[in-house]
Amino acid sequence: MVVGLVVAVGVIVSRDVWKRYGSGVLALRGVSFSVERGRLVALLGRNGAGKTTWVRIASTQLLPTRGTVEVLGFDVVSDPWSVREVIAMVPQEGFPMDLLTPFEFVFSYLLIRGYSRSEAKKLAREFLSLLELEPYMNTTIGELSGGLKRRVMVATVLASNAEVLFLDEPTTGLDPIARRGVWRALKEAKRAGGTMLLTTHYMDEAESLADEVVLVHDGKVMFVGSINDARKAIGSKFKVEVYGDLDIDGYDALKLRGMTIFYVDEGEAEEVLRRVVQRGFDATVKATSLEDLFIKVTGERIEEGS
Amino acid sequence: MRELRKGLSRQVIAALTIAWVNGVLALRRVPLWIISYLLMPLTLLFFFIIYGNPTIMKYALIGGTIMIAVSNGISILGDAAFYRIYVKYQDLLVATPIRPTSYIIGLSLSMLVFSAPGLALFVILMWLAGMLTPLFSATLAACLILTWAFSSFMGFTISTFFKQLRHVWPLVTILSLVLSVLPPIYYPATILPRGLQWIGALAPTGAAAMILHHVAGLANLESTALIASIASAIGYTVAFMLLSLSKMRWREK
Repeated sequence: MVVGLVVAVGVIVSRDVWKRYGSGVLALRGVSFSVERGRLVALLGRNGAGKTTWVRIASTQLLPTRGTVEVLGFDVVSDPWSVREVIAMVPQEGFPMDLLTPFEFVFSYLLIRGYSRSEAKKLAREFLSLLELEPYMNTTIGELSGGLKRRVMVATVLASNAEVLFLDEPTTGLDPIARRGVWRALKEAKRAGGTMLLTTHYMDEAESLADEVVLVHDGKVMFVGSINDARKAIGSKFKVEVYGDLDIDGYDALKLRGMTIFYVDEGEAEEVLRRVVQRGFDATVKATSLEDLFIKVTGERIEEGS
Repeated sequence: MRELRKGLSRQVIAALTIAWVNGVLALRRVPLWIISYLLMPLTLLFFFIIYGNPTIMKYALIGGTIMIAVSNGISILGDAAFYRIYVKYQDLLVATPIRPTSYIIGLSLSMLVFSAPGLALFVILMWLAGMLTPLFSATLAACLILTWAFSSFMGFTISTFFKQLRHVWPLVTILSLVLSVLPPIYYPATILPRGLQWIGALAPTGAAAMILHHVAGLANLESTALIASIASAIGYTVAFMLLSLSKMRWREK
């Protein structure tokens, strides 16, 4: 895929989406990409990069200033009601109602979507179990932890069996075990054929779940491709992170807020590390990850803005 | 036609479901709300009984029903803002086929659920006081429906202007009291100068109470005041219904 062009006809097609808020903030600058059926795509970027703005536009909650998004061929700007029939969305920082039980919350959401009572009951039980919420099914949501509440939100939206799911930072605030529980459920939903767009600033989440990543920075798409494409773009399997400003002959260095990073291959890592230590610096050798794609593309770390 | 009927029944189910979760279930979990909404009108009734006479008590009974309906209706302000700003329930529902009208009606119905026990108590007291003639009962039902609809549509409309929840809570109390104490609800509009009784109908709650006072034989209103009251009660409801639909942030710009 090529950044800035929509080259595939997808289930979700974003065409040159721009958004300027009333305050004057330009949140999106020509976002274009597409998502094919049955794929899970991670929209990756710092807080404030424009991920939520894009998801809100795609899920018919916000109008773009220019451009549009098509979901299953329906235009979110001109035909939002057709889009709403086929999508479901976990809002960022969204929580279920405190006074209900998880079962009541999911069940009522499914009734609102048009399911019959018996279908809604069955699906609510099934998806609460999938998210390992069975023991809490009849506990008042107000008594649950923040992590469990987020899982209820994910269960609610997955239970809808909507063809396209938007999940805006569904695992923010969850502990590592709970996050993996959500990942399992999302993988399960993907296996069942769902098309999902997930926003996150967790690199490990994107690496674990996504078929493709769309990297957004300052409202612009900086990279679109599969995890393999991302690895190729990173170029090296390892990196040596040096705590200080340092140059080594024969190796390109990336300077980042008091740190120097050398991207190296397996054989080179030992040599670079030896020369760094010789010069009296502390350093660590790590395997490269999507974080490094972010660093290479933006020249910044993702955590700095998160 | 069949599609239309199916779509309509789906919207009705959606509205009733919202009323069920936000009204019936919420009330079942926190029944203290019933006492909270009843406290002020019952306190006023108590003092009217102690210091007044049977006629004044009838004002307190009519005033109490209006106060319960308006304070519950206006509470939608807090719920709608909470669901939009804090828990993002509205965002969750925007990405579904539910129509904004169904959402507003659902929330409004849930407010009616909250006011039902209090209204039932006051209606029983009215019956004991011998006020429930067929004409008065019908007028009371119409006035309460209009008051509930007006106050919930108004509450919803106002909620759309807020970006922070903290600013919403005090407004609920202020509006409830302003709308149920200042207008001629607990007192007759006939104390206003002749020719100016219609001023009482400037507030729709005052209008509803004036109609009820008139029908109950407590105050003999001028015809201009009566017409102004009917126009006010209906006009405000329709105006705020239209405003709530046009102002609501179902899809933001």
